[in-house]
Amino acid sequence: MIKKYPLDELSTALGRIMGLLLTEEKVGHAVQHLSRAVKDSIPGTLGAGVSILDSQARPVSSGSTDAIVKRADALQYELGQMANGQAIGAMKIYAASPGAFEDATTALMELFASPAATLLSHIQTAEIPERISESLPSALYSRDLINRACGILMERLKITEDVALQQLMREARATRSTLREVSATVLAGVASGPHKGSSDGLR
Amino acid sequence: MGFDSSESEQRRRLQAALAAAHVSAGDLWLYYFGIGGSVGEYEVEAYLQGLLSLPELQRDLLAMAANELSSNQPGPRAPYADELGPGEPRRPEDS
Repeated sequence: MIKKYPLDELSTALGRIMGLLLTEEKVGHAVQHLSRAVKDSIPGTLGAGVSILDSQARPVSSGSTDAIVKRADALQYELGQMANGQAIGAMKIYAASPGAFEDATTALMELFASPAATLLSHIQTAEIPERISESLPSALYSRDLINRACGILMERLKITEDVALQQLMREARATRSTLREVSATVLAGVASGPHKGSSDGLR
Repeated sequence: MGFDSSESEQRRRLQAALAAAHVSAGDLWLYYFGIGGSVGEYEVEAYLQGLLSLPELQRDLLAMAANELSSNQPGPRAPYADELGPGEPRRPEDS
């Protein structure tokens, strides 16, 4: 089983944004090509397939070279013939007759296992940003709002950033409101303040 | 590295509040980050497990994050440093 790295959520999200992590679509494409390469490299292969399994061993993404592979795969899943345990993916080759593959074939298959495992690890970590994609923009917006309110207090009261944040927290606790609400009030006070646009020394 | 007694109590009661409200460490961190928290997710998890000491402001921000996340549920609140008894003025004098 691929270890699920406890990546810092923000860096994972940024990794995805910057294209460092693969989307499921890209993995599906790569898996398709991998199946093709497997089939072409192993003599006597009727068809090849690569599947990525979820934690309940259900296929979530797969590539296959021929319709017959899909059919054979479906049969195997139905019959529960797939290897049990901690499998996260499967690579299969099919031949028309029994006993068509030799020991050397196994070694060759193992060579393909490494790039396949790399693909798997990428699609696994790519799930994380999807999970937080809704809450991240809200967290960034709120952080920005609170930081702006801190900046206003710092200038107004000549205090440090930490003291400004403590001041907002005290206000939130005293008024039983959230830090975000208190910060929004500070910002609103600036927008409608008496000094707007006049004698601010900037002209 | 020293932990003053109010820090362990604050941490213990934060954990109790999180458990009662079914808030995960990951959700807590993201909310805490959203209200201006400056410590990373790893450090927050380490703090929750009692492996790392955090400055008072960050501890209070974590408490506030937990309380805002669970404000519509009954159950214990996470306390702020100034709500805890004395015994904390001996600040850790490590680097």
